[in-house]
Amino acid sequence: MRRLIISALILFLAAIEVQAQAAADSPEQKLAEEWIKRLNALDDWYLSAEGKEEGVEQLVNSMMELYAPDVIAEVPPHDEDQIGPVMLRGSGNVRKWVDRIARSQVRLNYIIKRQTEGPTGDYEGWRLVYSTPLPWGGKGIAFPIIGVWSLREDRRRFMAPGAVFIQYGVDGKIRRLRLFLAEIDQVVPL
Amino acid sequence: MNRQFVLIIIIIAAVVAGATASAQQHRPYNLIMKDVGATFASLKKNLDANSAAAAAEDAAKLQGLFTETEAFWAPFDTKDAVDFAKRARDAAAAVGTAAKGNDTKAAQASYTAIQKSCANCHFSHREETGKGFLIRP
Repeated sequence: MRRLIISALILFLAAIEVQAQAAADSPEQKLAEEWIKRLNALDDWYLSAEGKEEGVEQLVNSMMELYAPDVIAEVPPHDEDQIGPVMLRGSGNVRKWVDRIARSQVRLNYIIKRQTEGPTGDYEGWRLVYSTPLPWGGKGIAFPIIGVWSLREDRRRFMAPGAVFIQYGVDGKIRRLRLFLAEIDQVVPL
Repeated sequence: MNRQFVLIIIIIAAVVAGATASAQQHRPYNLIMKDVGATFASLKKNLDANSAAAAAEDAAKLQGLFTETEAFWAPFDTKDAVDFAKRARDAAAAVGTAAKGNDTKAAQASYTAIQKSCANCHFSHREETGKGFLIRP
């Protein structure tokens, strides 16, 4: 009887693991994780001993590889005075936005929120990526995030819940991006 | 005569421009930091031995080194590093003043303030690789 229970338990855990693996391996999941990875990597550059900024261009280029030349991006306001999001048209303007992040923010830590089925399972479980084929070709994905970053200038740290909506063309390049960050709060020690 | 005069003016201008450019370039940061480390260790030793004159000498040297540190960070949008360097320089000046007045207690307190600025700056801007350090923006 004991053997039966243990075997059933092992089978049950294995099934959960297989299910989780399937969710983690989906092409949409990989697209979302790649976007987050390249965003978080934007602060991964250094100053040389001679005082030169090294590696920042490569990181910006790496992020920009994901976008189509005619991309439209809706991103959070650039400063406190602006109300509402900023609409960027074309990869040139998106590049300026990406470059600005790379040069003005550090300790970037954007994460895809996790979830379980239960009512309180918001910080563990699966990183859900919602996806849909687009009527005009390509696919759209969406995922909830938590954005955390510090300002390079004075190291003030901020955190915001948000969501990302990305539409890919049939060529796999990003045609539309919407990054929403709500309730940006400064993180201060208690 | 006029041609010679113009030539001399050009040469003088070139020398002045070269000297100015050379003065604006700073030493590699790793060399500055190595000097800070050695001088800071010497300061500690001299303070512990109550060698006021030697401690004041170390403090004066540190002031110069932290001025170099500040100059390294000044062109970047990294105000916190500039502020750490300024605070360390001010604390080094305070160590020098206290040491000259044989006030060991005040000198030790300012020494701790230097240490704190160094530690805070390293926390934000120094990354250890195992083979050396990287300077984080």
